[in-house]
Amino acid sequence: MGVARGNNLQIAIASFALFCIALVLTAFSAKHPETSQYGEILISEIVAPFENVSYALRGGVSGMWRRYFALVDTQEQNQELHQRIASLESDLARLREFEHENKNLKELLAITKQSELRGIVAEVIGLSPSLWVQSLTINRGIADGIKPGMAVIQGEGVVGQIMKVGRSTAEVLLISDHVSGVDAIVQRTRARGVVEGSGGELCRMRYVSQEEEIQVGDRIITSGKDGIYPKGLLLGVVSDVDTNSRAQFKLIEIHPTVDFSRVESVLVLTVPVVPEKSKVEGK
Amino acid sequence: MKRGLALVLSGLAIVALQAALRSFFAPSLFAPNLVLPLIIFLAFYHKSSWGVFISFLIGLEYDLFASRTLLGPNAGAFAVVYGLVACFSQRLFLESFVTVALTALVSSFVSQGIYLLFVSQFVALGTADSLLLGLSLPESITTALLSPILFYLFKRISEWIPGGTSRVTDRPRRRSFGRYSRVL
Repeated sequence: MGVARGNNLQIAIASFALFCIALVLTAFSAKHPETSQYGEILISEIVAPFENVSYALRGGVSGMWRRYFALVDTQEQNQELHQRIASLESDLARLREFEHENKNLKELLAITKQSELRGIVAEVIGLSPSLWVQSLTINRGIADGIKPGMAVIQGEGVVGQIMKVGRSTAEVLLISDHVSGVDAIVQRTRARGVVEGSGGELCRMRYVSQEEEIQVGDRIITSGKDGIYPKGLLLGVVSDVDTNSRAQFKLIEIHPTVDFSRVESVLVLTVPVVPEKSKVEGK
Repeated sequence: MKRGLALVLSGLAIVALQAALRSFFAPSLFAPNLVLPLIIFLAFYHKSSWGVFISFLIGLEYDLFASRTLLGPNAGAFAVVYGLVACFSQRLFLESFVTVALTALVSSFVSQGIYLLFVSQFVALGTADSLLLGLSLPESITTALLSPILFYLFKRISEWIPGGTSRVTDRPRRRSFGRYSRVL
């Protein structure tokens, strides 16, 4: 019994000592973020082959499920999709006309045109193992020309930003993460704010003035003023607006366009984004 | 030394497995923490001061792989969880699946609470208590449900490793954990 108590005391002392060491290490790494850089890259490179195998297995299993088991209601879905294609084709024709008109107007106003979106396609091979970090791992790295700070998109939706880069893999910080912030505007009213992650599935838009009129269903797009994301990319749709009159700013809840749990491939924008200047500044 | 190195490498393998398996769970809030059952297993069956250090190293691996830039939150959390579980393990009936599951549930809350305590000092997280309950409860429950299965696997793997020791004394390991009895 005495031996056991002595053992417990040693373990308790060791736990407390290592807890204090961990606290000091956390404070040091917070002040010097480059501390863990090489260790993180090394571990990412070691783990990358296993993530690639897991990604291939996951693709095989889900493909088999889709092709052979999940064929319920296929005919009904087929009819719905045909109708949707017909509707989208007519929308496409209208949008082409708008694009042509927009192009002509921009040429008339002599507005500097942003370069077209160019980038590298990457496959998602893993998610962050930690509950508190919203990130994903892609199978492109330094060898493919990826650099920290590059924007990552899927279709017309924003996924996030390159945070860490290894030789053949990179980590993408999602816009739903706590520390993520994207300069954004409401497409309908052009009200400006910052979209921040909440750690869960939703995002929040902050610093929107109480005078601005925001409705559920409004689309939130990137403003292009942060020099990271091109202008006009869709961040999400407003799902709730908290109009607490005592607060200085509105608190807007946003449902992101991209379903981060189902992202399989992304586009990493490699062309540097020029911050969007206002018309007044341009003159 | 070899055993300690094997445990640290096992921790790294489990972290990699967790990252790969997380994508199978939708939403990912329900993905279990596979590393924590290993820490609890070490505290139950390999109780020593070195075990605290190994838990600390496994936590560092977890931080290097999962954290943005902070190095240390999970390391501190795992060291504390090991210490608490090891100190209380003598009062628990370790062969029961319910004991293992409940220990995993409580340990998950404790480790995530300590993690939030560390991180909140340096990163703005919002209201800590709502985050802890909202985001950690699903993971804690799935971790608790999966822990008995993982314990069984760890026991089998531990029996294959030569030179394993029993929990309380340094006698050579018994052939079957099922016949093991606590020393009062």
